[in-house]
Amino acid sequence: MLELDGLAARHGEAILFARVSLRVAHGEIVAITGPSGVGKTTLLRIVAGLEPPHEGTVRIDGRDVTRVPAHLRRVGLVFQDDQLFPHLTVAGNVGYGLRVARGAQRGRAARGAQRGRATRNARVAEMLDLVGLAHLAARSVDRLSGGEARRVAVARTLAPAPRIVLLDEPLSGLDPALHERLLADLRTLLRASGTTVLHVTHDPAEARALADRVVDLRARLVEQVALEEVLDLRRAVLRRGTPSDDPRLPEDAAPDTRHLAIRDGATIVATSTWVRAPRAGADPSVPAVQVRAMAVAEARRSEGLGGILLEVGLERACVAGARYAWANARDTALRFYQDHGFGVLGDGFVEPVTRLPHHLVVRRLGTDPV
Amino acid sequence: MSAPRAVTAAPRARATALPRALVVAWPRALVVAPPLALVALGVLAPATALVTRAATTEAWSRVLGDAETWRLVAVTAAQAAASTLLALAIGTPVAALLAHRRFPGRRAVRAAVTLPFVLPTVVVGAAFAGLVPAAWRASWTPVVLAHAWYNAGLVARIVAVRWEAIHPWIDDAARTLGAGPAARAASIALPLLRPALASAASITFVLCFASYGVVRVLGGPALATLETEVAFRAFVLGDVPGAIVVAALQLALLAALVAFVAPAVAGRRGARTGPPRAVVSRARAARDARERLAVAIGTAGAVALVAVPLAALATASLRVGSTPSLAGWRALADPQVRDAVGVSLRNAALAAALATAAGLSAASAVARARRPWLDVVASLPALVSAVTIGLGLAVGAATLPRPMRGAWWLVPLAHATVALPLAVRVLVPAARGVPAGVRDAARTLGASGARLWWTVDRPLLARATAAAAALAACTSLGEFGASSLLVRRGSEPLPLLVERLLGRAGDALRAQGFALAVLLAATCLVAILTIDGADARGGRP
Repeated sequence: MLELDGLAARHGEAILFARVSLRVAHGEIVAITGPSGVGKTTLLRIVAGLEPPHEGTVRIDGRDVTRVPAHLRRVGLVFQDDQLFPHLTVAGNVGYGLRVARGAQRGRAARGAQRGRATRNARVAEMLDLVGLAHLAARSVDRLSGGEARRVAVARTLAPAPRIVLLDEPLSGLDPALHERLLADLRTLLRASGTTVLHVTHDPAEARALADRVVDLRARLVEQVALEEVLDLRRAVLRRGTPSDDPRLPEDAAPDTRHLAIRDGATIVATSTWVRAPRAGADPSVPAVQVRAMAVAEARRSEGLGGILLEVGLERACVAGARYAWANARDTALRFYQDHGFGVLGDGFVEPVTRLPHHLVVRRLGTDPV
Repeated sequence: MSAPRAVTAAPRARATALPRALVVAWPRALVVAPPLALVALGVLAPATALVTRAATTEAWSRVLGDAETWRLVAVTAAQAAASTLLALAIGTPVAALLAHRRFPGRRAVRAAVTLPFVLPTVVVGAAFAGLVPAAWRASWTPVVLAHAWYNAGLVARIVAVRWEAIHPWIDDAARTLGAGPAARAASIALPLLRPALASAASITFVLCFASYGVVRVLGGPALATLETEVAFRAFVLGDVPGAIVVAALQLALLAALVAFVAPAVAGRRGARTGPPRAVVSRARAARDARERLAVAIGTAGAVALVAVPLAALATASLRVGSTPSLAGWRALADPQVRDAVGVSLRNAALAAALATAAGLSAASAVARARRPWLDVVASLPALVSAVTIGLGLAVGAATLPRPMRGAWWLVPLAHATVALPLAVRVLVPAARGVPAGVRDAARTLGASGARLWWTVDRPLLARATAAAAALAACTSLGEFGASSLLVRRGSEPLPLLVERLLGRAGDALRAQGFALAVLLAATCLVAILTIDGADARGGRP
């Protein structure tokens, strides 16, 4: 069993992800999705022990392995670009883990080198059979097709029977037909081996096809908080240079209003408020949400936190039944909304409280017309 | 003739076919002439002169039948092997540091570790003469240390380039499969680096095997290698046939090494793998306290390693005997020093011009006209030791009419021959880096032949040309082996003067020699900083 508790990673100062807690039962396959750049690969490298987490712990079978070096963890990783050893043959690659692992060496000493080698060869042959490459055992890995190389990478990872298998975009870069075939093979192979699997992909369809459960890494950044927690950031960011000093909105009191936020440690660094309301002049019976008070701390503007808040909020609104989302966007924020699929409606207006120029922006949710 | 070319040209071009054929066809044939001429003059003609005029069967049987010759072979090989192993042991960790870690001053460290390699061998010898205790003088220990010192940077650079081309996640893959640090070094790093280690080792071995300046300065008359034996027989004993046999023996041994031993060491893959592709450096900053400590120790170690012998040299120049004194520096006002500087600068300018011109045409021939054999020919002088080149030219010149013997152009010619392989190594990759599309575009705009070269190749190769010229000038300034056999009294270049001063008994003369060595080192330092500066600004393709 794999347990991740409060994992966080950064790229320099920028938050990659935070508060990732996840429990993968023995034999379960869990997929992690999210667009590129959200730290999916980093998460796998942390679980494998190739990189230390910024904070949080990794436990395997109840034991904290956060400080255990990679080569003692028995966690297998299929790299996105295979990373086959160019100086070894196909069989050499698949047998590598059996040859170098500490456990294997102890076993070899006990049973005698000859028998160790015989068992190893048998295991390599078995793995090559499983991935259908028995005929390529002696081939040099730089003369493999993309699909063959991927199979060798999978066989190499599974050969030493790791406690957990990590798959980093295992089907990327393959043509559609090969993608389908390898997906089916991978499903059979992983189910048959009964290992615990963490599977990273940007493709939700692939995630659903392979995994028992799908986790959106980006959604893990965003949490719902109480109104009091977001007021400081709203005051700092939104009311600057405007006549009103009160960061509260009339809609804050409504029972359906939700405040979403991203934290860095205890401090809230981004927030937005989601109000259940139709836009002016629209059919009030069509459920809709208004995005209000989007605020990102000055120092964290470059990290794309606003986009994460917006996308996660839209997803939740969609699940909650909203048919469209809208906002009164300040002119300076117009581009941000347009980049996230919003369209501008009408000519724009001057907002009565702040006296700043605004535009009405709308994005439909799901497939229904607004 | 130009007829077929004119026929295959587009019909509209027929009217201008003849002049165009003249412009296009002639330079293509002639482009190989300068490097061939230089190699012919500097290597082949002297070799012919040696073989035809001087080598007698009597000399062959006398030298090869002498047990002393074979003892020299063993000693020469043993000191070269020890030097090579030490250079690898020092250079490989430095390569790991440069290839894998990003840290403040990385570029400076890289330049610093390469610095010893461009220093004149006489300066290297002088630095270690200033460093080691007097009791060690005239023993092999300082010679091996000096050899390892100036080759370690070369090893570091060759190995680092290869290491950077290996994706760090290959190592990560081995880690996730259960390989510990020792297992990864043995099963991943070593096999993947083997071609680079082998080529670094063979270059270092060849250089140490044929080393002359370091052995002369540190060993004096007490230590002998095949290379010093050539000079000794030719100069002191006047046994030119014997010297030629020893030179030929040395050449044969080195050629066998490069042709048979080095490829075997590099392994089957080494032979098959082409030059490393251009790679984005994946070096990363140190992540935790342990890694930061390792980087700090590595950086400090590398810098100290380079700095200590140079500091010893500087200190030695500021002392007469054991008392601090500026006498050594004051003595540089001496007219013989002024003359030597003049001679050296003249030699350097001529040699740089010759080697760069020949290197440029060799590079364009290799890169564009598909004459890869020229690369090999232009690299020939690297295999022939400097003393042998000098001996060949001296013997060859003796066949010329009397007024031309000992002519002033013999030394720069020898220097240019020695520098040609270096210039070619810099210029060929640069010429290969000129995109064919750009040349085609210029052609469609009407440029051809010399104008095409002048308007497209020349500006694109400007930095590499400057680097090659600086390297050639640097080589000439420090060249010792060939000069020592060719120079007549009164036109002594700097390295010879340094060696003569350091070889004298008086402390004041030694101080002067050390001061002159510092001056020579500083000149070469400026040259390498120019080269590295050009590299940093994108001069490397």
